[in-house]
Amino acid sequence: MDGVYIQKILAGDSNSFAYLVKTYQDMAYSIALSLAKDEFLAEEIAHESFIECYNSLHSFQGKSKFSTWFYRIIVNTAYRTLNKKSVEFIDLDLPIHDVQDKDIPIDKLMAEERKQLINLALMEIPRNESLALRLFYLEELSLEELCEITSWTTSNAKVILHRARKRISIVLNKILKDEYNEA
Amino acid sequence: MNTMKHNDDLLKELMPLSKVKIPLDNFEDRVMGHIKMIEAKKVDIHKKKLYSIIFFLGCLVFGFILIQWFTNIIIASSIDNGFKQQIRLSSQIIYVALIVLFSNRIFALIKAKRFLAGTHKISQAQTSL
Repeated sequence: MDGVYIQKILAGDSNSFAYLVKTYQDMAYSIALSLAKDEFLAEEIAHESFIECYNSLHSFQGKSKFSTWFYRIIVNTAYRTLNKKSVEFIDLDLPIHDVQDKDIPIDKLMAEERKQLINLALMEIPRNESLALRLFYLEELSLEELCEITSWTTSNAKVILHRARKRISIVLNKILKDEYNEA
Repeated sequence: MNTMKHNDDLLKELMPLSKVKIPLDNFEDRVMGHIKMIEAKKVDIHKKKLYSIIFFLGCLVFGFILIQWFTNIIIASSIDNGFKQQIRLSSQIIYVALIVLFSNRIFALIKAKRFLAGTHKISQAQTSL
């Protein structure tokens, strides 16, 4: 379906771009949020990414999926914006250790609580790891597609994913324990 | 390994919930508004490009006529011949220099593609996909 609308846009029907905006706006925002860690900045990045996409649509050769190509634009736009605004990349230094299954009573939470919990946890972990988790698990991209979008090597991507999995488990555990202690 | 598999299964279950709905209700309208602005600018720039080329060609012809007329005046005058030659040559050099200068700008204007909406250069990686 994307291909049909892309052809229409390239033929001069700019209104057809609304379909791509509607289809990808939430994912664009989610990816931008992974990197920006700030809602307003993420909106700005998402907006700029769509404009960049529109301006460079003629260069989309169709060798990969449109979504892969577009996510790459989002990632590049995000890094560029963050560099421009001199946003610091601070790696969260949490001790990584094996997490016991029984420590995470996540099954007991309602769906909305789980949604809030996972998004909160994703905000806590480093940008690259948050991005990797969203692209790999949410978008269900392959490792190759992940590397295409982020320009990471395969080994680098595997390391980031591995760390991300461990770190998010720790963060989830920590958040739940903090909430339990407050209650 | 069991822990890692558990983490993986947990993430597969939880991560679909991490898709965040964009909080702005009118995000699509804002993007499309921006795109309409880009398209309007493109039309405007195309018009200006056209006018620039037309005026350049017009000035080329006008300049040529002016040089000819000026040369005829110089020839008809009672100025020293050597000085006449110098004046003629200087005026022609100025005319050619102006043509070269403005030709360069016209070519740059014709080739210009990405000066709209403050966009940045397309990265090599983006165009390769």
